[in-house]
Amino acid sequence: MSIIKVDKLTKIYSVAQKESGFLGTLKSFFHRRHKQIKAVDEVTLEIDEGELVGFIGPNGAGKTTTLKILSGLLYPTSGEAEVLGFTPWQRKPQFQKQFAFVAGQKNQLWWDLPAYETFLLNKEIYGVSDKDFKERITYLSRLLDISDLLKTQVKKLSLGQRMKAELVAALIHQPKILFLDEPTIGLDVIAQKKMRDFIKNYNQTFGATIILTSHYMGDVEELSQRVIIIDKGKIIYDGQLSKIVSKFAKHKIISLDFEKEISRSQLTTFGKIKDYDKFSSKIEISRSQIIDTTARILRELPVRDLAIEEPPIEEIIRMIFTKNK
Amino acid sequence: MKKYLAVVRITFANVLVYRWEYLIAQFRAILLLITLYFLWTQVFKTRINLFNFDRGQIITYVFLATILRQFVIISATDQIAAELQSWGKFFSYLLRPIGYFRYWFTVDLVYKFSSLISISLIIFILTKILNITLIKPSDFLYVLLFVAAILIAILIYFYFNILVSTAGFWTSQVWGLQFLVVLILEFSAGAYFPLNVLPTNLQFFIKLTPFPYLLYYPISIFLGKLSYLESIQAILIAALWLLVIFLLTKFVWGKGLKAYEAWGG
Repeated sequence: MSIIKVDKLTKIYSVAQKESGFLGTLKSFFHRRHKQIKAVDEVTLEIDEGELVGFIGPNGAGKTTTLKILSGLLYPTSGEAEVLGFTPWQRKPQFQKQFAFVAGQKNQLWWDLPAYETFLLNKEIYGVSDKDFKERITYLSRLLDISDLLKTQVKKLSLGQRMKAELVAALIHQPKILFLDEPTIGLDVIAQKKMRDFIKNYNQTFGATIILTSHYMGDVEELSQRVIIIDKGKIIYDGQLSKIVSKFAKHKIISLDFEKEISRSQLTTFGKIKDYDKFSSKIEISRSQIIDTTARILRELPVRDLAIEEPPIEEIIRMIFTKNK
Repeated sequence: MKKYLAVVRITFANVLVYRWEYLIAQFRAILLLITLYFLWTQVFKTRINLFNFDRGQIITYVFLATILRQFVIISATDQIAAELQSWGKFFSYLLRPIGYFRYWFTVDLVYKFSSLISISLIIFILTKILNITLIKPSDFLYVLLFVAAILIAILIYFYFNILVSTAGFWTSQVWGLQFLVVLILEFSAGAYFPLNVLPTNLQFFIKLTPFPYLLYYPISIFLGKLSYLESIQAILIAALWLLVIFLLTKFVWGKGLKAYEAWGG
């Protein structure tokens, strides 16, 4: 059952252009020129209940804009969207009670007060019962390991701790859909890992539909089965992460370890050298020739060990984006 | 309803965090009050009546103005401008099932009552020390009219302050504007002295703005300076101003939300 349906969603921003310098400022004060930017360009997609979907794309690709439209913050310029059976930008309370939006760079917690105060506020805003509230706070804060920090002023928490508290605040009403915008931004590697584990766990335990944006490949690689790659407002890939490789990567990489020293020129006949050392090298070989070439390498070179690898996803995606420029 | 009680709770917790800042603000108001008190006492040493005010009336005016300034023309909605600039918190309210303006009005009530209670307490002690008797309204109808005028004044200021904050939709330099507005507003609301003190031309001009309806008219009603009819007339004009400012704020707010959309990435 699809919980989110989006049809030809388009969002055009009109951005005021400002010229540089004092005269330019003066000029644009009287006569602003506007530039139309298509942040989201005819995006069509469907997301099923319980899915964990990763939105990836470079900065300004339209990921966050899409999330903002789906959560009702922005009106689209054209197109349709239906989330949980509601039109998001009508901002109906019944709709708002069923999702949460957590953004890594923004905070809803009251800065000068302990996080627990904001939890209590959200409890009433969402009409959560005392029993559910207690259970959920205990469960979430234990899972996120912030039980002892609930009474500490938010401004005294570290970024990682604060993000965890933000998550708890957002999950008190047990949303059916969770929008996560760059949830791991600015976190150290360990905190990133913990955040990912939590997201995964939450998705599996409660069957919540989670849509996250990130420009860290790690987030998406570890979390999502399904990936939507978006660039310049357009979806350029929507499908399983593992299939990106076969769709976009025209090459595989052969890693070789040699018995004896091998010179660069001996390798050039097989393919493009990605990495060279006298005793070990990496060669890029097109998919169609992989078997023939491997056989030839084994015949002609003193190979001690050989491995055929897919290029890293991060690299493929970088390739897609640069090609798109 | 329970939501808004939770808002009261958390706002009050926040007020307590900043208790020293609030006390300092009260202290400033009191210093000003004492200065005005001695000034007017000196002025009335040599005469009985000035600008149609006798000594008791003018002293009551400045005391009442000090109390009401801390009640009618304080609002936390200044912070909206800052929240619009940092936009995280603002968004979080748009996304949650709670009315944004209603939320702010609740926050304001907490600020208003906590400062009303503390300033009244300080002033009560002050009047005992200086042995001042304040004038009371001559009859109950004036009390009712005064309360009505104050309620309207609170709403006028609430929407007006949001209107000023909406500048935050377009610029990050709202602080200067807010500061300027406070200066002009307090002066023309009659926060420091009754407007009668001013030259007639200036008075006439100021009375064309909504600001005198914040303090000057309500206090004049309290002191019985206006007849019943004049009082009701003032209240009706205030109500009209409220409507205008309310509609204007709603309109600009809507425009602002639209303009706001042009930022996100």
